[in-house]
Amino acid sequence: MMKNLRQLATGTLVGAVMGLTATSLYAQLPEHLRDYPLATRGASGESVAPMFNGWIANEDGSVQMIFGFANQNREAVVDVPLGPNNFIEPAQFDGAQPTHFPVYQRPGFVGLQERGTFAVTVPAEMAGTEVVWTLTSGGKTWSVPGRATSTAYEMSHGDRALGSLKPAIRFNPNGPESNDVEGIYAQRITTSVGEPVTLTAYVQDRGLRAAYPENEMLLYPLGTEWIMHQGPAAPEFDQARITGRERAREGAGESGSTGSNDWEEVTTQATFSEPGDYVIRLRVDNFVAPDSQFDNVCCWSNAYLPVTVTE
Amino acid sequence: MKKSSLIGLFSAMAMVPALANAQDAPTYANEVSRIMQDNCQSCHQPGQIGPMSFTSYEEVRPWAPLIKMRVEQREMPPYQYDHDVGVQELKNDWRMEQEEIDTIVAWVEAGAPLGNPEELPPPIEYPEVGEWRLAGELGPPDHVIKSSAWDVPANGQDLWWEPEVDSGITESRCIKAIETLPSKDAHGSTHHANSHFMSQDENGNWFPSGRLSEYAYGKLGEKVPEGACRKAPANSKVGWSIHYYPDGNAVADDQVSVGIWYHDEEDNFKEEEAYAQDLTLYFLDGGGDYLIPPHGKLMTQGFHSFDHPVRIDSWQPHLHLRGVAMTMEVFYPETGRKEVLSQASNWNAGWNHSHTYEDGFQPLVPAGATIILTAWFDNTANNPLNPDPDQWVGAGQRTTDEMSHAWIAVTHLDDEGYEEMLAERAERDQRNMATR
Repeated sequence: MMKNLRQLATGTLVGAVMGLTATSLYAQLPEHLRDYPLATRGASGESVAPMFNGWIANEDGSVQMIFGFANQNREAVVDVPLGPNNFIEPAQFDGAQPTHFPVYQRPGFVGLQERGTFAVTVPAEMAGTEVVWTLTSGGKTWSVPGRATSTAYEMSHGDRALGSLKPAIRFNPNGPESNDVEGIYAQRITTSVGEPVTLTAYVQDRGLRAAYPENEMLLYPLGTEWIMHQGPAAPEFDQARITGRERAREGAGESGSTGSNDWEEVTTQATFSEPGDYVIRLRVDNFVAPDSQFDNVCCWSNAYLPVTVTE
Repeated sequence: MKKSSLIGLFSAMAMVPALANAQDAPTYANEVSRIMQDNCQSCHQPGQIGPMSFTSYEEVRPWAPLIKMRVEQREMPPYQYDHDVGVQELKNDWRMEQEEIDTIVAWVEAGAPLGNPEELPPPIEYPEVGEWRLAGELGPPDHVIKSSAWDVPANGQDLWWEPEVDSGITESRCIKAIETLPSKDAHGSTHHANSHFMSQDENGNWFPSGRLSEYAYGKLGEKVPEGACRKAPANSKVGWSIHYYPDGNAVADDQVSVGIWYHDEEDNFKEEEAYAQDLTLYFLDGGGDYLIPPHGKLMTQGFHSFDHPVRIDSWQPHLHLRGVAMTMEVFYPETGRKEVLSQASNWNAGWNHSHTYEDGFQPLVPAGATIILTAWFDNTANNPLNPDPDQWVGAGQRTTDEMSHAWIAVTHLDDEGYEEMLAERAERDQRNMATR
């Protein structure tokens, strides 16, 4: 009698059907629920939401403010150059934010958000200062304050449930290191329009995983993505994104490894179609680790490469 | 001093008519104590989650005006389910009867008298925090599965502990009831604890094989209704998804438990006659396809349908801090009719109830009908739980991010079973009408 039946359709719809539903339900709704707009997104013309993701109290009294964004268009990529339509106050923090806002549609709960795009550190002597990112697009201006007031937005540099930490990135094997969303900047490189240029970095997984026998590996293969952060036109990247799972299939990661792994060189070739000044962001994640997810605000790090492109 | 005296005078004057009628008013000993036992004390007792204890007149009396206000506004007991729309026949329904509310109001307005202490009912013994709530009715669980031990820090950001453990189940059986139980020490920091079965395919690969349980702060256990089988598979693993939100108390080696009660001989349960039941997460707006603007509001919707008739056994909205309401409706395409099944127009994240419909009153949904879920979010300063109305809010796993889904237990029927249930209900309704 029991039947193994399948669900015919599980989906979400927006637009006209929603409007019909809202209207007919209206009569039965309590008054306090009657002025809510439905979640709808146009293909274009929507604004980009600057988003404050959270804050971290550093041991020296400084506070890191972490930001991301969400392009609310279903299709249209948005570019907003630094300036009156895209600025951060106080001015000393201006310039860290992106100017290029792709459309994301991620699985899971994060959906259209791009989290942890950049971060700034408010020094201890400026404690209590709010860092406000103002962004105008789609005919709307949004000013979002980064503030260290609510514990609901407090984050940490510490390890996750099974010991994962943010991965490390260097542009020189013996040079400075990023192991954080705030990241490091490489020395500016120069190329010309149409001339492929090789972008190189060195990455290494990090974690305190030995204490957790649930870990299948002590070091996990890393995911990498090259993203235009600032610039006049999106370049073409050779293999812009390689996930940790794809690297795992290639044999990366060391099952049962206990030592520090070697730095892994990651490269891409970028070809620019427009002259100008660019910043390319390299995001490195260890999302293969069971306690690391984009949803859970950890663990990934950023590093930024300034590029000047001539005619 | 003068101001205080005046307030006291006005207060005393206001009490005069009430005291004049105090003789006829309800008393704590005779009426209110029983209402408190039935509706309040399970949480409001030492060691439980209620911030103050209500187990005696001395404990209740100072809070009488606040109690009156909360019950009049139906903020307490905390069971966010509208009483004027949708299915009203619910199991474990915490809502007070209007008569009980009226009694409390009359008692407070009469000066909250004790009455005759000899009329006090004997005290009720409640399970301690960390003890099975369903044990009083069903006895101890037949099988307990624990998450791997993990150290919960005292402070810091949200953390997710997602171990997989051997279920220890050696024989596939139908579940009668399930309860997820955070430990006594970490019950304040265990925001949610979901568990699902994992089974092995013929190649030895593990795959998800059904939801075991869903727990969020404030939720009790869950009983599978008659005639339905939620299967606990043999030789399975259980995958946990535990979300800890540190509350200031560090807990070493914490473990969350899920207790399973199976049908026994006395239940006269016949698996071969039972329909399959599952508990599944149903998204609104794809789960993450929405943003709530600063100082703004938003409504999300999700649509789900089946190619066979189903019975909806329970419904549990799951939103976070900006979530304020959810509705479940059904749309019948053949008639164009739409019906509200359940509505929680004053939902808040402090309590996650699974609204379980009474047997015989579970919504029956024909094949092809559409279940419509609608949720409301308030990111303004008017929402008292809002940590920062200046922020955009998107979906995510942190408490301060949002979620927009419902947990729904569905029994999957065939046409014959569906028609049988419809006929039984029609007969019942006719019988009831005849006896009126």
